[in-house]
Amino acid sequence: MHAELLTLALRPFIDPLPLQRHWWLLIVPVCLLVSIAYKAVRVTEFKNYWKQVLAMTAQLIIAIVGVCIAAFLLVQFIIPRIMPIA
Amino acid sequence: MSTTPTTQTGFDPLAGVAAVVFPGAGHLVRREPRRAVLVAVGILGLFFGGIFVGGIDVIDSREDRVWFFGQAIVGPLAFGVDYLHQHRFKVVDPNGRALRTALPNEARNPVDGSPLAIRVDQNGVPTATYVDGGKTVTIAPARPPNIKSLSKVNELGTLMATLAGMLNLIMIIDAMFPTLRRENA
Repeated sequence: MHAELLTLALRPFIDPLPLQRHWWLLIVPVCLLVSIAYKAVRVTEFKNYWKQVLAMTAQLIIAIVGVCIAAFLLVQFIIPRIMPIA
Repeated sequence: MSTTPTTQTGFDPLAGVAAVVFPGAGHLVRREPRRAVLVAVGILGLFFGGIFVGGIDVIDSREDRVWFFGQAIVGPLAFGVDYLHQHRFKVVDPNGRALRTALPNEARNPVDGSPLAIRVDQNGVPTATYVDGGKTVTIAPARPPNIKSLSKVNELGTLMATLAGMLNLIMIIDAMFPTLRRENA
């Protein structure tokens, strides 16, 4: 690529965001938006709507982080014990 | 956990059709404006959030067909964005006339969609030239119509847009069969 092209401005919604290092932060908006839509059709009244949205967002994030930790332990520690690399 | 059925009953095909046409419209037809706005915020936030993260490249019915099946459930909006991507951003490959994303050193000819080689002029400005009705037109600065997203950014952008579609399926079902709704489920 021409070096000159690298200096041109980012075009939102056309070019990708430069999030190669911080992509994992997207877990927060994704979980929040999923919770907003899902809870909108699950509650019968909106009295505690935002409280429920925040609770579901937290549950999703904790569950995903838990799965990440479990996968890490499985790959790094459990599988090498079961099938040691010669 | 106790569940409380709503007082609304029956099957509402009109709300279902409206929900397919635009996220949240089904609940608007059912005269539930607050629910409609929240549904629209969630679905459209995910859909356009995905495009914001990964660029327009994440909506691609040709190169990412399986993912597009999920994204298409967002409704005509997904097809519109895909049409825009295919016909306003992709270039027509001279070998075989297939549509493809422009290479990093290619601009798009606005007349016929063919790729234009980008060259840097003596001032260091990237330029591309094309002929329009016998007149030579120079684009400066020239750049590819869009940049293809790669790796995690592409995966997450595609996933967000697809999640929007899958979630909209729940919204369509909810608009069509409101008696399925339960509290604190």
